[in-house]
Amino acid sequence: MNNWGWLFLIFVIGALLWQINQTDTNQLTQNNNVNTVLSESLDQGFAKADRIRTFSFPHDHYMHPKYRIEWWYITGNLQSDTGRAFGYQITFFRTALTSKSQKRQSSWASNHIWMAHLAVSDIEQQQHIHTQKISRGAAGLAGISQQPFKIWLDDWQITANSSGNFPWAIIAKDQKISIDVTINPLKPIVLQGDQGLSQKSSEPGNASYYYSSTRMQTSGTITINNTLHQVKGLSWLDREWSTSALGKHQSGWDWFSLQLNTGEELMFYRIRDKAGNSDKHSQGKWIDVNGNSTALDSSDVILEALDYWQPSTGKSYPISWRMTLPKRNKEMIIKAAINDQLMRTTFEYWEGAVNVYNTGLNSLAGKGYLEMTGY
Amino acid sequence: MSDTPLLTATDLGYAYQEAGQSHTVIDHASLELAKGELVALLGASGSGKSTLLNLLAGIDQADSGSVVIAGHNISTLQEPDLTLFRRQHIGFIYQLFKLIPTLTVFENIALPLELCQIGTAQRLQQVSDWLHQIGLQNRQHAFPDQLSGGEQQRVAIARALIHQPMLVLADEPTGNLDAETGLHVLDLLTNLAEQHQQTLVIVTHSETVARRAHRVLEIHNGKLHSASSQLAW
Amino acid sequence: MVAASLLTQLKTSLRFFVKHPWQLWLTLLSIALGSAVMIAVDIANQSARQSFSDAVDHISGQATHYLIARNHQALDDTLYTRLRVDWGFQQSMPVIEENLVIHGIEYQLIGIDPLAMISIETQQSSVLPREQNWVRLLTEPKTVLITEQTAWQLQLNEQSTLKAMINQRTQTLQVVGFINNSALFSQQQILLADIATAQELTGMIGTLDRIALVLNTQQADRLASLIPENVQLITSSQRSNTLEQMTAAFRINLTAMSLLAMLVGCFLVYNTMMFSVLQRRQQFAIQRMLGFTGLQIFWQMLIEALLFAVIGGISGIVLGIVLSKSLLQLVARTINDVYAEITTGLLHIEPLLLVKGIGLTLVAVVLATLGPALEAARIAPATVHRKSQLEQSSQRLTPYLSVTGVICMIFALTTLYLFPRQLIAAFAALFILVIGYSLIMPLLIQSLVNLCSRFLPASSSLSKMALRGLQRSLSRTNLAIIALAVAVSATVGVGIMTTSFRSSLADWLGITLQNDLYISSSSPDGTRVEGSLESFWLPALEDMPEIQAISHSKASHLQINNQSIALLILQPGHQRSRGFHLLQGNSNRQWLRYLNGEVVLISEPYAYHQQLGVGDALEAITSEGKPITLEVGAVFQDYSSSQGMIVMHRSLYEQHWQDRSISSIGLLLKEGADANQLKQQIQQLATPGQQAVRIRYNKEIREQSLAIFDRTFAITDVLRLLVILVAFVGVFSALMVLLLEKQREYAVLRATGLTPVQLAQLLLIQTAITGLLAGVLALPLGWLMSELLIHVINQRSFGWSMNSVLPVSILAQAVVLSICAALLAALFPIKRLTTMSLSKNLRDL
Repeated sequence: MNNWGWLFLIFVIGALLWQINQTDTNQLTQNNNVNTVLSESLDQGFAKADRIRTFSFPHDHYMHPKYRIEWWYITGNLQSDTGRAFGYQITFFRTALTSKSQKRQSSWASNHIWMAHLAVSDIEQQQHIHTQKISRGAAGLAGISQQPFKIWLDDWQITANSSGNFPWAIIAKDQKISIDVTINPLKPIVLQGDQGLSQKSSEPGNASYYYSSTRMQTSGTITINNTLHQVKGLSWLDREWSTSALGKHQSGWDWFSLQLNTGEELMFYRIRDKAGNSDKHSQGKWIDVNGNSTALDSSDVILEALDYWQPSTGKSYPISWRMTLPKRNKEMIIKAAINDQLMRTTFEYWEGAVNVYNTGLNSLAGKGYLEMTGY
Repeated sequence: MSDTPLLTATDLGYAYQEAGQSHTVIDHASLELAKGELVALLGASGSGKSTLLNLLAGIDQADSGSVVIAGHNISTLQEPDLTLFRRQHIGFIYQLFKLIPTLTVFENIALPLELCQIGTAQRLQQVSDWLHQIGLQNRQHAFPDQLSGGEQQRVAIARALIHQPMLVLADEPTGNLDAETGLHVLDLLTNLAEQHQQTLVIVTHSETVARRAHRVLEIHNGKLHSASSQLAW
Repeated sequence: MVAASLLTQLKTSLRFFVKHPWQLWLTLLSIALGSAVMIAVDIANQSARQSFSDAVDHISGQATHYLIARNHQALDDTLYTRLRVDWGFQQSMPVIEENLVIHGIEYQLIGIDPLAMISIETQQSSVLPREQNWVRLLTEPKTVLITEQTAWQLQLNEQSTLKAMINQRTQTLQVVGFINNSALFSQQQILLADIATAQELTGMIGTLDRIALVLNTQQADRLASLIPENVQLITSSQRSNTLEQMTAAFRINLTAMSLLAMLVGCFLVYNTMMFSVLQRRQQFAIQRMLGFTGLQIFWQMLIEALLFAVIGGISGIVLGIVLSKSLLQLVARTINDVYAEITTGLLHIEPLLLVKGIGLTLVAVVLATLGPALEAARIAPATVHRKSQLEQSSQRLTPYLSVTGVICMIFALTTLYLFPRQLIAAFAALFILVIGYSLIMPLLIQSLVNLCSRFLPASSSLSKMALRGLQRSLSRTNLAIIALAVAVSATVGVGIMTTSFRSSLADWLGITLQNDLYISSSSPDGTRVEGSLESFWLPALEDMPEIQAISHSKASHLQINNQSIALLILQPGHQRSRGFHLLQGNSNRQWLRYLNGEVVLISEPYAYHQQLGVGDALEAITSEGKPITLEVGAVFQDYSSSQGMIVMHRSLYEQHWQDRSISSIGLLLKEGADANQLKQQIQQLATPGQQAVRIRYNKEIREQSLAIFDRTFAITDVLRLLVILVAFVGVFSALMVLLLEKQREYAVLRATGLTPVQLAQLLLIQTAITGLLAGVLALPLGWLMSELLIHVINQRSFGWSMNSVLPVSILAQAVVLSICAALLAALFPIKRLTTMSLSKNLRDL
């Protein structure tokens, strides 16, 4: 073996040793790999949510590829015929890697990555099972089609009726959990923020287009741990798309969607800055029994974290809140139905079913979902 | 001289085979050697004197008869005991010196001591000593091919005597040397043997050597007898 | 504590060899050479073997199964979509593989879906780099990841571009990062790309090579029931095992040759050690006389041998590593030609391999020295006086050696009968045979020399002197003669085998290639026939008047016992002869049954390895997934592969398969037809832009086949050369020592009136006779070896039977080679001798 050969051997040995050194960091950064892919982009060609737009349905249920990220977010609280309570969440995320898609020979080329999350909370058993899928948006593996309306990733799918409208049928299965439900809105669609433009921070463009369907009749089946349950209840659909949302000084949000027994709903998200304080761009909507919505800003809703839960990875999540709406003279206690509803996916966030109580009466006033990110 | 003989050879016989025929070299030879005795062995070429020496030293095994040295019957000794005996108690000097060519003078002389497992310091002392005795202390790092015949034989003598063998056998030690050198070598040998009370048997042609001996033996056609007359030559 | 006397012994050894530098260096050289060849072959084999291991297995760390297309074709990529979307198999990953060439070195391009890979890889062997630049793999075309080794080798960084040749097109690739865990791929030179990029670079749009899956048994069963008929589910271990098995015989053959080199090396060590003993006879006798026991002398020799072995062994390692690089190229090329496409890997030098090499060298050298050591130990102190004892004693030994030799040879033959199918047993028998013959050789040499002396003309006193001189020192010359004879016999044996093989191959080609022109669809690499010819061919050709007969064939595969066997579907035309050399079932009745589609023909290697014969049944699954039973009608000779082939008549094929395509057409032309013109006509038929076809003359195919054969046996040629080199070195050393030992004797001759020229003539005659003896004695052994190689070793390795040919030219060449080698080796020693100083040599007499 000549000199180069020996040098190479030493190099390989050295590389190997260095590699062994690096293994620990490897495991940690493995998930972060995809994370960073999905959360940053240097591409300036994307459109920004910086102006009011006209929404039309069912057209806007479809994707908006000029914007970098988009999701179809469905959560719900359901009960079986024996009265067992369940929570579920299914989300389809779309991320565009580049603002322009190149024409390529191969049908496998695509500038889109799709990701889906599925979670089921069995409140009685205090069990929360979640799973994630990820795929390229090509070769028929994942994507969205307009006619017929279908969003799918592998064998998970959301389909609409023949005219592309509600009700939607959702089918998703995994090894331990599966859902097969239909959702049908009971109220008209609510445009969040300012006619659908939801500003997250003061910079123009740090906003998203956001609409919700706040009360949807749901029925179907949930399977958890090999047991099938016939279920009925209410779901909530969130639709959002943007290119950049949070400002650099903002770390995340706490988002509440509550469906009260009175027939009213509340959506509120509190944006936190890096110090943990509420940002003034926190906002939401109050929806009355007829579906009319009133805007809520950061002064309308006071949030106080009452109790925390700490998973093994160290960061505490507030899983019990007092929400006060001074102008409406309302005070509610919101408690997580299960403490650990942490989504340990590519990026970590807490998303779970919550119970709403009227202070004083301590009786169940409603149910909803809480999402906490950026902890 | 003491009473018990050092060596008793009884009825030795030795023959070799060639082309199917048997040739007798030693024919019923017997002799006794006393401790410290100097014996000269005379005989014509081919008379078997070298063979006799080999039998006495245990280098060759006799076909018949026995050789007893200081109580050890070497005819019955098997290898490696025979070699071990020879190592300690026998010294041999050849006409053609037979030094190991790849060892220095010092190393050649030290060899018997190494075999007898004498410690390094003691070895060093003894070899130095003997180098002085043979007058070659300045040539100790020379190789045999750098020495003259006389010098080589002196080394051979030191090698043969250094381990205090009981019996020293010399096969025509002066045969390859000129008269003057030969005399010196002979003197050295006999003096040293006498000094250390070693029994010395010298095979020779020379009457000078014969004159020095206590006894002269003669071998003729494989048979051994005492010399007819000291002055026969 | 080492005894002082032992140290002194070693001092004498060291000084002896310093004084005789030729012997020192030649001993070291023979050890080093023998060891080098052995190690080089070992390294080459190991490195080639590493190429068999699957790079994709490393990437899809957990993969338990693969989906592949049955006909060694490509999979439709919609299968993958169905797999995930319709059937729900989530732990799956698509794979595309293709060889490409960068700067003349072969690499493997692997295309995968990084996102799918996350579900199938193991944490430890994750290949995506930690920086997110790998996303460019997805968004930009022609982007690749390279290993750190490749980067170093080609002097690239994470941003470089490089030019690569893929499927005969040059592409410019953009490097976007390094493969993580590059060390996993130290043996395979790979580039990683996104599946879309891979499809575009290779031109395989819409297809995949295979799909990696993680499945438990239930899932596997379920999937097996869902996949279409032309798709197969195999376990991940099946793939790499096949290549290992296929090439096992070839690699064993190589190893055997290398061991032969070691054996010859050992002979030489024995030689030189024995000489050193002879030269130090006096010294050992003096030592014995002084009181060294025989055992002490034995140990001295053994320690000498160990020291030689260590030094020679280490040099051998260095030399071997250098040698292995070229050897690996030869080995890889042969595997590529004969077996399957592999990417030539880097040299894989396992420390264990080197330890094994040195260990074997030590053992071999010590074993070779045992004889001389015993000889030295047995030197009686009385030898100080007697010089001719050795000659006598060795002559006494000769009959014992001969008897042992005969016993060895009988034992060798028995071994063959006891183990009728094992390859290693055959090699063992070969070695024992060689050793047995070598033991008999002293007797043969003696007899031959005596014979010579009787028939030599009385007038030539010089030659008489030469012969007598030889007779007297036979014990020493024997070794040189034996060493040379063994080496020459090896070349004779292998030479006869190669010639026989080639002649059998040529005969077989003559029988098989009955047609004048062959048309086939060209596959990308041009060596194997894949793909089908378009349907217009047959009718178009049938119209041509110059064509007397048309036959066509189709290449396919059958699945028998979970192994894929090549299937040839033949529609013979009105050709003159059958086109097959039937070894079993050679009757008109059986042939008719074959033509009627009742039975199939199987190739000889297949019959041999599977122990099948006429009348046996084959349970097979067709490439369309249907199970069928076939009856063996006859066994035919086939040198095209050692893997096995089944030949089926078209009528039988159409009974069980839907497919009606053909892949090759053979044309027999009428007498006097112009083949050239016809070829051009046919070429015009093949419309440019559509399918490319190859039209070849009978002669072209013949020559190509023989060329591949010659390339394959290039390795044996190289090894033969090396063996001869080792032998030459040994003979040189033997003669050197021999002649120099007799310096004084020759000095006397010169002093008494022999002129330098006459002395030289004398020595040359002696040497020539030595060479002649070696050459003549090499012939029977060489012939025996060739018979063993042809009828036992090749049969057991590949399943081929061959006719042995005895080319007289090889025999004559061997004898001439032997004489020349001896003379050449003697030139230098003779020159030394004839110009030596007389006085110096006469002095010590």
